[in-house]
Amino acid sequence: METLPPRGAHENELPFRATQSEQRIIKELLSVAALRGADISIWKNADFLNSRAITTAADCIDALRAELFPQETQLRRQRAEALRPLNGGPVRTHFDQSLETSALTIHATIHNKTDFDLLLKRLQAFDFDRWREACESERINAD
Amino acid sequence: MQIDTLYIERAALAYPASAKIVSKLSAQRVEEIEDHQSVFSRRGTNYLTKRTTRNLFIAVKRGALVKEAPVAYGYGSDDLHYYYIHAYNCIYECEYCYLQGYFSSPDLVLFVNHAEIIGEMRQLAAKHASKRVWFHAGEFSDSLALSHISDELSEYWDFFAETPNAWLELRTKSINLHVMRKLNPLPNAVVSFSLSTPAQAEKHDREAPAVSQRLAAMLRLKERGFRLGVHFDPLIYATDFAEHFETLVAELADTIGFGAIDYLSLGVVRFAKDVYREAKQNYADSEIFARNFIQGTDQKMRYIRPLRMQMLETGRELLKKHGCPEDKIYFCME
Repeated sequence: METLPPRGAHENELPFRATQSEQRIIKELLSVAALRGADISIWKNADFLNSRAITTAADCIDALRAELFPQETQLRRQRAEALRPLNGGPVRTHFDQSLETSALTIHATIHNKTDFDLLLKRLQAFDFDRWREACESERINAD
Repeated sequence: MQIDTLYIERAALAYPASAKIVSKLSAQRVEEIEDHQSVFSRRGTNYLTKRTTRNLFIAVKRGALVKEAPVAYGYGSDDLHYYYIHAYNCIYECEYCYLQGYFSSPDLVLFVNHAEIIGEMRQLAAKHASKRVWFHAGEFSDSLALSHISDELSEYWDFFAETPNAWLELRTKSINLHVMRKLNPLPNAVVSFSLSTPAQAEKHDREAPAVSQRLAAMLRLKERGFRLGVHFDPLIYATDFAEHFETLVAELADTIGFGAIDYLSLGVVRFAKDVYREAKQNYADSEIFARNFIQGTDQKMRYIRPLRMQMLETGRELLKKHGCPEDKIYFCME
């Protein structure tokens, strides 16, 4: 039986499937690259993408962002690293991807007391004030 | 000034200002209309038609004449800040201008019911008699660019001369000082100029006077004793931003001096979402859009906070380095 494309996927010029939303983001990023004088045709070339292990639209978006906005990407990595104590077990924690605030979104699925205790332990090990101060002092001299 | 179609609202004909404005214009067509909104708002004219067609409306402003300014809009956090609406749209074409996408037409509108606008200001100044109440002009149109035609400033001057707790700010990029030459400085009236680095102004402030001309206009006003303000707004990122900004600050310090400037604001480029979309469409090749814009907590499209703060703090440090007192500097809309 033929595999159906993922929901929202559309035909496009890219050598992988991409939803309309992913296509829009990639188009935006490529327009930024073009304004900076980059050759954007390589981002539609399968050999180039394969050489960078870019096989999905999400990979492509990540790679474009890292290339165009390296300092911003580095800040996101630092935030993800700082959130390590709050991730794992029953807890998944996300930071504000726009880097505008130090807000955190915490998801926890508690099946039993062990999960609950682990959640408490992770929360208690996290210093929110330190996190907030680190976020507020973030500065970059380019994007 | 050459006008393609001059629309005059019937209600505006009763105001003496209307005849004065008409006498200063050269219009190919003149049409009397009932309500300017019915033509101005319903047409859906492309913003860039302003390059080839210039229509002007003379109208009576209805609804809110004086509006509360957004947070961190003006200098003085203990003060109250309002802006008044004397006109819509502008003869300049700045690529980042929020007027694109704000109105559905780039046509110029000059309002003539200044006595009513001043009446609202008077009420607000009286209501907050113990406070300094700022009234900013230039929110929806440059406050000086057409002032020789609209010729309303003397009326406002009379009000501010007799109302010491009311403060006027005329925001401009214009070097049109025809009307200012006829006015005397007031202790509570500030003319504030928007400045960018000359290279960026040349690229992005289309049709607006060069930065050197704006500095020359500031100098003329300073010599006449007018109070001055500066808005470094919008700051647009470039790899050599700090270097060019420092050159501008040094020139400002040399030609005008910070003693003659009441306040200086720093604001990083930002757009309402609709305006961002429109501006990107109108100026697809503009370097402004070679950066990453995110949607901030206020829904405006901005650079990410760490870059904005870096630019604002760099700007503030460079101003201080060249002798600007820190208490004169504020971050706009941040």
